[in-house]
Amino acid sequence: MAGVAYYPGCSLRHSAIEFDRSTRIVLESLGIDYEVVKDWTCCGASPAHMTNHLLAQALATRNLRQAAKIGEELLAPCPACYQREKNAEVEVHADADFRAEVNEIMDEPYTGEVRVWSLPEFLKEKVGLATLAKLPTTDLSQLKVVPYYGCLLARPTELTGECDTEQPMIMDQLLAAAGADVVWWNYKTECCGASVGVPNKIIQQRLSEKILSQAEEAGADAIVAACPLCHQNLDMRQHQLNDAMGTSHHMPVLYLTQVIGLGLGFTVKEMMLDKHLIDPTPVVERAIAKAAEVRAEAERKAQEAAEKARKKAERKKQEAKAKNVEERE
Amino acid sequence: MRIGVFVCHCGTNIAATVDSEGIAARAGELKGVVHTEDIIYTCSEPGQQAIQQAIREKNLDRVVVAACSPHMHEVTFRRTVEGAGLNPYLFEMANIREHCSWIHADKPEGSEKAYDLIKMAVAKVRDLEPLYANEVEVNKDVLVIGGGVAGIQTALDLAEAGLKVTVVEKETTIGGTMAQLDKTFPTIDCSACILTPRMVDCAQHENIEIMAYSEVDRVQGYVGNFTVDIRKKASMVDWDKCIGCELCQQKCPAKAPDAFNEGIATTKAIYIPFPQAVPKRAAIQVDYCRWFQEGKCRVCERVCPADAIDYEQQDEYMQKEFGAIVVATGQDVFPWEEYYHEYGSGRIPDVISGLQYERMLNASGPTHGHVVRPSTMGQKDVEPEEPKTVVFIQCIGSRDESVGRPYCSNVCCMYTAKQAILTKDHVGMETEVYVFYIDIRAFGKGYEEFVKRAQTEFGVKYVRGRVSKLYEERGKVKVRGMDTLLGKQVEIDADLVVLASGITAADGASELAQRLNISYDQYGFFKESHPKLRPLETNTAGIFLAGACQAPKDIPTTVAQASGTAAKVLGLLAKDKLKTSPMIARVDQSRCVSCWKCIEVCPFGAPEKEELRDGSYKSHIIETVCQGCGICVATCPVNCIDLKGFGTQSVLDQIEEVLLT
Repeated sequence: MAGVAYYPGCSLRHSAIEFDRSTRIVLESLGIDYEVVKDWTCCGASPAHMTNHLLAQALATRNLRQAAKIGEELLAPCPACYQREKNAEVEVHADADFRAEVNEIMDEPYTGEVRVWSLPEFLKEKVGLATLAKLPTTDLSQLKVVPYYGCLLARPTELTGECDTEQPMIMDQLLAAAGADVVWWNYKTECCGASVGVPNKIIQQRLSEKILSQAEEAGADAIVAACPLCHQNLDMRQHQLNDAMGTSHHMPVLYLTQVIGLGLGFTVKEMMLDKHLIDPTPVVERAIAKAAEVRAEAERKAQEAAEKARKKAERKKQEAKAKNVEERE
Repeated sequence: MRIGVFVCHCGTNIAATVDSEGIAARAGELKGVVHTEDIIYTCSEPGQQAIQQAIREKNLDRVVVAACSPHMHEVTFRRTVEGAGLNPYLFEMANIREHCSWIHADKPEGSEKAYDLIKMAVAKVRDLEPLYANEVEVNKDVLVIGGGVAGIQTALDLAEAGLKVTVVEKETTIGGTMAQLDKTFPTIDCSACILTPRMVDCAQHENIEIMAYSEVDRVQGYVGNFTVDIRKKASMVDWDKCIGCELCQQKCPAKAPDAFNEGIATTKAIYIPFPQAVPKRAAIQVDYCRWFQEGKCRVCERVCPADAIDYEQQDEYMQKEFGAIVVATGQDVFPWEEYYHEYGSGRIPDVISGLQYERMLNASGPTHGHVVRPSTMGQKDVEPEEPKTVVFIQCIGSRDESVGRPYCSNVCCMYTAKQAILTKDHVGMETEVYVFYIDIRAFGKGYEEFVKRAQTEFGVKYVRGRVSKLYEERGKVKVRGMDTLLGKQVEIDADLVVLASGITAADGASELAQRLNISYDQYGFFKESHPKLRPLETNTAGIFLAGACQAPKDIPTTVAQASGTAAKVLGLLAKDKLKTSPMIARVDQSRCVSCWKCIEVCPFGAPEKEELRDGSYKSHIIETVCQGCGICVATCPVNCIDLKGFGTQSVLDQIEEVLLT
């Protein structure tokens, strides 16, 4: 697979560096040939598109133009970046007049037809669930996870295509392929508070707290997210939230690619689990150890059963022999 | 040739965009036209009299009326000219309303186009020759497809009038959806008590044959003479022997989903859907039968006192002749699980559909009429628990464009009110009952008063707004929605949520429509011929509609329509012979090359190989079978087939007229 452009965006360079690293390691181990977009600029998320539509689309289109120098596909792991780039893609490709308007204010025109992918979509379509399911070397079957999609991965349908806005399944499927125990829960797409946590903490805390308690009620060991802002609200602000709400949550929040990477055999260190404020390491290690025990137990039982069957067959054989002898006599 | 042209104003329907008076005057210049006239309402009595007067006074031998669609009034005007002594087929309509005035805004341009259409019609009438209708014998037997309340009503009305009726029902019993209901609104009378005697009447009527567990495979022929292939599905039970004693069902060890109880209970692999079934005969669901799946068991065979079990039974095929067909195939419940993922897609046990709740309320249902939380049903060591808070959500799969159902399902507002009242009645007045609604549609006789009773007398709380999400939390179903009258979000911890699932077209409806050659809309409901003037007929002569297969309907409307349909069928079959349209295909045998392409393409089987005196074979159209569709005309490679009254030359003349003059 040649010529996939990779757009990290601002979060993946700093607060979500572990998302960036784990994504790249997973892509590389899956044999995907990607190249980071050169001279990329801000995708315009929130501030730009709330200020000026043309500016917002131009910022995103500029990145499409840069991506076109690599190939016709752009992968944007951060859902906010994905939404902005996808938004530009849909409008600019469909409307030639608007493209001309955007090109007017850019330093260099965009003439390409770059397709923008979200991370889950890319993994499902380009790698495939069946292929992915064959690869895991570390057994994550004892790791109970709940996939948290947030708002931007699942909606609106016009941008995200076939994804079901109310009951998305794509992360569920990817996590199952990675070997994890995916638990059904009710808060897949509930709002985490997003950027409202900056001006009004209490609203974000109330919303995020519900997600954490729902994950606990579902019996999850960890929440799995694919968005740096969700991760920030659920993980980084979890202590703050506990203080404010009088709760005592201790719910690790992993990135999707960290779980897939762990399954592929990468270590806790390589997947940078230590970057999280709620350390997922104990939960993950416990699950891996438990899986080994379960496997050993299953093997022992299988052996016992085989032994029993062998003995039974032998007994039958001897009985038959004795009968034979009897008959002959 | 003496042609008369009459241009209609249709009030302002035409005259607002077409200068009817001006183009009538201009039409006088056309070749052969000796009389022109513009009339305000041509279809009115004075309008028709004006045409007849002109025919007599001016000795007209051809007539053109420029007015609405021939779909609307062609028959009317054919009768008009016939009344004045002219052959009705020496008449042509120019559609200057639907095809012109209604779709254009500019008057000069509209007038010009209308004039072109009139020119074409005049060119066509010049070619017409007198045609004479044929007569065919009529078979007076009637086929009713579907044995729900609509089919039952039509069948009984027809049978009472003396016609032989065959009811084909796909399930093992007639009764349809109404048999599943507990009570009916707005009178709260017992559904079974009013339906089952009628089912029995059907079974006992000497003029009615019920063919249960059967399907219509193919329909051939035409009005008065249909040939229908019917398949009786293998039930694995010899119904001539079966006495409906239910012993097999009691002893059968294999569980199977219970469709009659909408899946909230299980039945056995061999089953009779409900005690009042008609015919009361058992059938085996082979997918769940141990004998068919695992090759051992045969318990039913051993216990059957009538020796009726027949594991070797095959589908039976038969062909029957009918004069008319009534389609009464009903509807299905909207499959909400596939669409409403925000309501848990069916994963939450305490969220059920309206029809499932109906089965629960029913005294002969799986809970014997006790309202319990489904999550506590059928479990060991768990006492079934009565709900304390019940939430109803209306418009599920109705008035919701996001699930492709923008239409109103007609019955849900009322059945929700009924179920809300019954909840209070069965569980107790202290039960909290909420109804989330968009608005209440209580349009029928006594309906509004009924909803008011639910609100005032029974204290059902109506909340205007939609529910955004349902999920389980701490053993309750969390109902999160909006009260749009208060402008506030509401959350309710419910024990039971009932979704007022709407009506959707019956499974397989569009396939049946194709077999019958009738039209259906984008939702799969069958189309009536005209919503106001021919609401019971389809566009295929001799095929009629009754009940919810045409559009969502409640029981009173369904029964009223079913009786209306019976009257329509009686009107048709009161005649011993039917006139057939003379506008049919004709073969010029001297030019026929015997390629038989016409036989291949004809959907009605009208062309046949006719042996001539020299021993050669040529195509010949059976006049009574041909429907005049023109497919053979367009297919014939040597152009030796022509359509009477719609000749190839007349089409060419019209084109020439509009393009070259």
